[in-house]
Amino acid sequence: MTGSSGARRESFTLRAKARRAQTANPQGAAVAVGIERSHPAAWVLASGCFWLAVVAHAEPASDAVILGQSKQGVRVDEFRLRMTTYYQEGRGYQSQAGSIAGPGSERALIVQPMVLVGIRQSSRIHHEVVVPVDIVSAASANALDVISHASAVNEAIGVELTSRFDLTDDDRLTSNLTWHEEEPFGSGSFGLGYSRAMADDNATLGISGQATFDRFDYLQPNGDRYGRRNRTALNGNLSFLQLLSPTTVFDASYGLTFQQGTLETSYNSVPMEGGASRTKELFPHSRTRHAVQARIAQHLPQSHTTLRAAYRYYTDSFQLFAHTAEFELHQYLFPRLLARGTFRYYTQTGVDFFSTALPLQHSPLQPRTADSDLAEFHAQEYGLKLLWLTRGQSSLDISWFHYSRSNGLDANVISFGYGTGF
Amino acid sequence: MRHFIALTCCVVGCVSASAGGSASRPSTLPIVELTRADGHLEPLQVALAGSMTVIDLWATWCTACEQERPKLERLSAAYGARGLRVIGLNIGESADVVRAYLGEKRVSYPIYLDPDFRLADALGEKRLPTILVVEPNGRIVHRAASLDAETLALIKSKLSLDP
Repeated sequence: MTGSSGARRESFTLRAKARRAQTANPQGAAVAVGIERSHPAAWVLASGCFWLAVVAHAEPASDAVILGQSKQGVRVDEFRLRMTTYYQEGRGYQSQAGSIAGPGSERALIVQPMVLVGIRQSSRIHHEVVVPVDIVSAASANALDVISHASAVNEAIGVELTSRFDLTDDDRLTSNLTWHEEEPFGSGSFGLGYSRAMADDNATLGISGQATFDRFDYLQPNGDRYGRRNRTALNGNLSFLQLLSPTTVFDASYGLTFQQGTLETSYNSVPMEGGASRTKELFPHSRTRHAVQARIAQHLPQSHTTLRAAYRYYTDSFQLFAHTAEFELHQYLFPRLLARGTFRYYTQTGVDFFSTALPLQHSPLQPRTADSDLAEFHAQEYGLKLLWLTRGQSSLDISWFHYSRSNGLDANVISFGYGTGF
Repeated sequence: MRHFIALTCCVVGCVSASAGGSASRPSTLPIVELTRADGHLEPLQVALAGSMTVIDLWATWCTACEQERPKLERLSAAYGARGLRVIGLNIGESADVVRAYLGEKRVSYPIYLDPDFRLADALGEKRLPTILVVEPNGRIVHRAASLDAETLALIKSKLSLDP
């Protein structure tokens, strides 16, 4: 949002670019990767202003005015509103909104208003509170809706608190606390992260961990409830960001997640061979997931363009392997109008216990699923976002994304956002 | 998977090694001639005008530089009369680009050009923005990534505004 800058004119000569290839600069990199503040690691580097008014409260007013910190103490410095609608249409074998043997409807409409408030506690401590609300209107997205009533509406609310503590100029600690509640499901998580800027701020190394606890009604495909079940997830991430030149950023990360508990969606069902009956979905009791990602972003000052490319490899103990390639183009159309085009290609193998016609002799204790999310498929997503940077620190944006999957799921996402800083 | 991790580690290791370590940076300004945004050549010592000077290294595409500018304007307005000089040094851009930018932004303090990074390299500076506090004799007494409280306190002390 703060990446306003009126005229961004042509800048580096080729010779200069080449010479500067190893003399990176974090704020320049922020242009490359942080035009919309969407890259947390880059923002960590780009916010070279966290020395702002270190002791502003102890200085004469004139100092505070010069440093732009005339408002002292705890204050709200950012406010954002977002309204996102997500509409999907498709068919999946886990859904009972169809014939017994065939795939059922996965149609769903989700409306998600969201509020974000940024709170500056001091020059070194900043908090961000996000309140997302999900209103899910699923004609028959899953068995639950068919059993209960058509066009069921389900509301969910959550709170996410993220805090940032700048321990020193180079060391940053982050924490996050989330809580989510909806009718059959409650979830809470807690995470800690640490990042260190190195090599004259040209690189950042980060490590983070997260624990998530879910508790939910053990709903059966026939609508019965057998008490409550739990699952937990422990996640660890290691990331490294490197400025390759003032306008080029590379980052890589590895994430490891271990899940345990009731991992299946208990009201999902699996068609049995012969097409006469269904049985409930069952997952192994634990799942270990690995993800490796590499990204590069290049800003082209001459044309006010930023290009990003990313690749992600994923595998887990369910024998699911996935590859993701993603490309983004950020282009200033006018000094205050930024367009972003994205394309993402994703392909995965199915889990080894996926079946749409489970053999009748299949053991009831053996894992099985017909969830279309766990089938073999490839998917494409493309979209466009327009961001208008208004005068001051405000912005308006509108975006549309289309997602289509080879196994019969299509989704459209439309989002409107407004944000302002103080 | 193993190959990919190995490749990633290799790339990360290479780029990390290339960026690691900072070259020694001079403690005085080099004696060079600078081009003003209006096209006139001027020795750097003349640009300092015998004053305590704050030099802002910036570029038109650098959003963080833009956030520094209002602070520098206020600094110049507050302490200009007490002998402080604020100048901007554009890094790596042509005069046309900078002039077009200044036509829209109306920066009140003088802007000089370093289109081929000659001065930036001589100063050993790698990042934008960079704020240098320079004594009248050309000695660089402070370097910072932004005009922060520490920098402001130092400027005031050098101007003998604080005991």
